[in-house]
Amino acid sequence: MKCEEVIPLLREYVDRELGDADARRIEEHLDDCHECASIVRDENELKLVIRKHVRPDPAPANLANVIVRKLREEAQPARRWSIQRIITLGFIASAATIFVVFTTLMIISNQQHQNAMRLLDLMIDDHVKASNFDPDELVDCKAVGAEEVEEWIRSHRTDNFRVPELESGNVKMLGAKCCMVGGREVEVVFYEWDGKRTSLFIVSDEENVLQAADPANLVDADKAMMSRRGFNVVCWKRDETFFALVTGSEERSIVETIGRSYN
Amino acid sequence: MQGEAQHTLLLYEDLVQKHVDLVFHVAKGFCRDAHLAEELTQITFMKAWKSFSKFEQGTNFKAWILKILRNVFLDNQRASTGKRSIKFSHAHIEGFDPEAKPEPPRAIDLDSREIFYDLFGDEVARFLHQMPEEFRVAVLLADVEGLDYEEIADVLDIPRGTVGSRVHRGRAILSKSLRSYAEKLGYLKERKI
Repeated sequence: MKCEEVIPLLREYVDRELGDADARRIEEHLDDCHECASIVRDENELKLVIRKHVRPDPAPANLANVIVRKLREEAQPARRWSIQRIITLGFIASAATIFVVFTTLMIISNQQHQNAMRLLDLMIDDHVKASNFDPDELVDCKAVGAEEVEEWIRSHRTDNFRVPELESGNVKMLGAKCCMVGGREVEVVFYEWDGKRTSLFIVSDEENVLQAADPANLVDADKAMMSRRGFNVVCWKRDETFFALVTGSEERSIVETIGRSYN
Repeated sequence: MQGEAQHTLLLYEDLVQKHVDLVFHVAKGFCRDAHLAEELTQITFMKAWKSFSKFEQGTNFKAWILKILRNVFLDNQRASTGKRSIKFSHAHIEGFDPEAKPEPPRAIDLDSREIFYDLFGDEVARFLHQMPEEFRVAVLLADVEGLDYEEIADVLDIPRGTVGSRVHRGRAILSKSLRSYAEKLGYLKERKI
């Protein structure tokens, strides 16, 4: 081979990138050519100088550990926001919300129940006091029927309600009065029921805090009928008006009478 | 984590430990900034982990990870355009003309050879550092990291012939810089071309 043919191949020869046959032919030429052999020697020496003086900088000491830690964090399934985890957390959050709402409602309901019971106790107190009075001294309105009482009550109140027509053979209306019970404005209608003094308390409940049954379902509503402090108490609600009847009479006959009055 | 996944992670962690110096060093060769090189190294290994299932065990991990590093570097370069100038101007190299045809190999004067190669220390790294990226990285991969042309072609995504050209032009630039330096210091007679 001539120098002109060899020189273009010397770079690849130096980098050992030539095939065996070409490399052998170059080596045969180098044995006889001092100039080309010098080029190869210079190129190899330059390579050595580069390798000697350009030493690879080692990576910072903790770099591998930082990468490994990141890899482990990424591979850790428990820390990922997997769909399963989101569903689980969603379920827990929903359950917690339901629990809080239910508990709050229970507390409110319990509070309302206590308020209603306190009001009923005050009504019973009032009923006891009224039982000791002469009916003529007791009433503000000596009425002769539900309609008259209703008219009289409406002259004192703005809300619309109906006084049940309870009068029958064994029930006689005595009259009505306006008073305050437990800080509330209350109308009371007095009756003689089977010869026993009976008080019907009528309270406006626009804020709907006094829970009671519908008058049509009094028989099935356990909470509508109760025995309290020696009296039978029957509570019902119509629209925004709360009724509480306190009597010494037998409760089933009372309930039937009330139910009839609304039919 | 299941057994097989755990095993794969441990295998990959072992590869991280073995190749972290290489990736960091080549990253520094690409960007010439130690802090950025550290960042590029982390990104490279995290990105490689995501596609590790595609890596064929027993094949060249070194070339595979360096190829990912190059892509990470290019992404970073594109993202930081206008913020950081990594691109090197050829004008920094005395007497270097990027358009000029590469000179054929030339032997150094016999009398000067011994002095010439014993003369340099940090200058070699400094002059290599100053070279344009395409030559710098080619020389680094070939002469420092010991990759063959085929591997370098794969890493840099260039034809094999271009690798040979870049490596030898890089060495020629370096040799020229070292020669000029030696001549300035008076250790080498000015060359007569």
